[in-house]
Amino acid sequence: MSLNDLIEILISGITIGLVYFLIAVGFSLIYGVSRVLHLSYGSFFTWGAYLAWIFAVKLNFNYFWVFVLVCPILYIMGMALERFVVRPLRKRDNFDFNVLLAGLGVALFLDYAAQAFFGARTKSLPSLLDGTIQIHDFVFSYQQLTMLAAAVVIAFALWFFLEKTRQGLALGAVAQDPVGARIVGVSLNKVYLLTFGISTILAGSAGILLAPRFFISPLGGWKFLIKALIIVVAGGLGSIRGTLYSAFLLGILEALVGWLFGLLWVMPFWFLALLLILLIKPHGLLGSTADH
Amino acid sequence: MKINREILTTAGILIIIAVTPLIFHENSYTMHLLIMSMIWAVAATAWDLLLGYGGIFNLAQVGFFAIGAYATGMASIHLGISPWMGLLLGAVASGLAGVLIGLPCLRLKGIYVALMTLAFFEVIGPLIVVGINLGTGGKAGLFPIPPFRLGSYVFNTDELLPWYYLCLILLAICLFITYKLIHSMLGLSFTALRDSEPFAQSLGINRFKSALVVTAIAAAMTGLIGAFYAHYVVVISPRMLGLDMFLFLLIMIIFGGAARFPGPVIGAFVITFLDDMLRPLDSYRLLAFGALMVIMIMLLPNGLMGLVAKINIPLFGKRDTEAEMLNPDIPKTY
Repeated sequence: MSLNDLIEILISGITIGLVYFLIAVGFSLIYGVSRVLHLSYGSFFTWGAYLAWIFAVKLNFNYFWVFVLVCPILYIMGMALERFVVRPLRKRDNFDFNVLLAGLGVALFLDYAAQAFFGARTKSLPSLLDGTIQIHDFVFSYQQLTMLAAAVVIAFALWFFLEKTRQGLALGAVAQDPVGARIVGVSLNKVYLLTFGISTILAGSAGILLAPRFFISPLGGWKFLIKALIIVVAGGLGSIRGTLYSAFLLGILEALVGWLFGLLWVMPFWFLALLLILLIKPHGLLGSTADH
Repeated sequence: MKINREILTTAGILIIIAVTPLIFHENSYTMHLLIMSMIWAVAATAWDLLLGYGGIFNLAQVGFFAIGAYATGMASIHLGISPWMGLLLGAVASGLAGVLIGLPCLRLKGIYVALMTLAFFEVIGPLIVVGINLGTGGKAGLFPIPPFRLGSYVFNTDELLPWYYLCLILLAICLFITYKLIHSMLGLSFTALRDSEPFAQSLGINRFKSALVVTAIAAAMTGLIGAFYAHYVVVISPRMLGLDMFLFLLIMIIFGGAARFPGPVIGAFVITFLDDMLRPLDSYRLLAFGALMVIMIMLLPNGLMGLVAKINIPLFGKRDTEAEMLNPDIPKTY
């Protein structure tokens, strides 16, 4: 393995890691704020890609407009899920158990709705931008660069929202202490709605960014849900910075394993990495021990 | 053994299954569906032990089914062991796998268990595919898995009756074990951990140990029926680790009633036949099942057995009102 190969692996690992971060952070956010293990999360990833397919391929919009149009739809889908499925269950016993199974039911519904509407055959999206650019010895496709740029922009917007706006701070407050947040006047229901909306946008936009590279299929979201799960657990549930680190770590591992042994070995290696991390740090890289 | 509603319902179900072939034995398709229902009934009941009674979100249960199937499949094809030994081997292999997975996973709590076991479940499929050199058959599957033999008689696909009664015996054994387990000291402490962990632990119950033992038993039962399944369907492939079976078993548990023994058995029969009836709907069928799953959880969280428990049918034994009064949580919790 030459130095150039290594740099190429690193760059591709970082790109894929950043997109994985977008998927995983939405999942982490939902768990952190509302304690819901959101198993239909992967279906929103799929639906993001399918909605983009409608606008980009069927209606011929460019990607900027695709994002502008798809994000509100995803936002509403996420909020509807919270309002009509999660909230009624919150009032009853065994919330964890019921919401987990209800999430699976919603996932089944959404996935096969996608299959019924769009067919079982895979679809592909055109690349974000065509062409390549050469820097020194390395050739980058514009596709890869725009993916990187878009992911950075979305990640930065998320950081800005969480750290600099009132709403975002309220989200953080609920994640830390729901009762305390209520005492100072934060409406829990509003925060939950917001969290589901934003996380769904994150899942869906990651779906749009990855769709030109992978194909879109009705059950394709599961693979990414599992990846998000592994990243989130490795990073520490509810810890956003931990999610960032583990997404990069596992992204680079994926690029490395893919280069050395082939893509089929990626998931076994991820699982091994997860086991190792949990053996050393049972709550993930940056997970707090207070978390349950 | 005190006669109660659970025993009466279970016995009723088993007797109905035992006499059904008198009517349907010539209709091999219905017989096949009934056998499949029994297979799913065992898998669902075993899963319900963990999910419903223990509140442990072990999502790797379908993986144990596959491990049992592959253990007997590989051993009987490559090593030529008898399928009867294969049944045992499947149970032992899955039980061991249950312990191996349980060791790291069960030290974790609640949601972490779900995440770890789901991750594990997703890894088994790729492992079978990459392990083609070890004789797993890879993506194409393992074929042909030899049938059972009894003396000079060889079980075959033309005559489903022997398969049917063999499966019924396995079902009865598994239901008996499950019933005994639920009402044993171990089962009670297991359920106590679900309801109030700090309290159960203050009584000296070792959470890790009881969870591990029950996981191993549930895995072994699943492996046993997985092994039977392998011999029955002749071909096994990693496709069985797909989402369909995973979700169908969950729907069966929810439909019949989680922690409502023998609810999952009823769920298995209803859902298997419903699935067959809805087959003309094609891909809308699974869409409908997804909707059914959500609706059941929202409206009827205790499933059919929860509904039955509310009605006082003399035939099903006396309603245990005293226990309900002592513990008002009984009808509400899983």
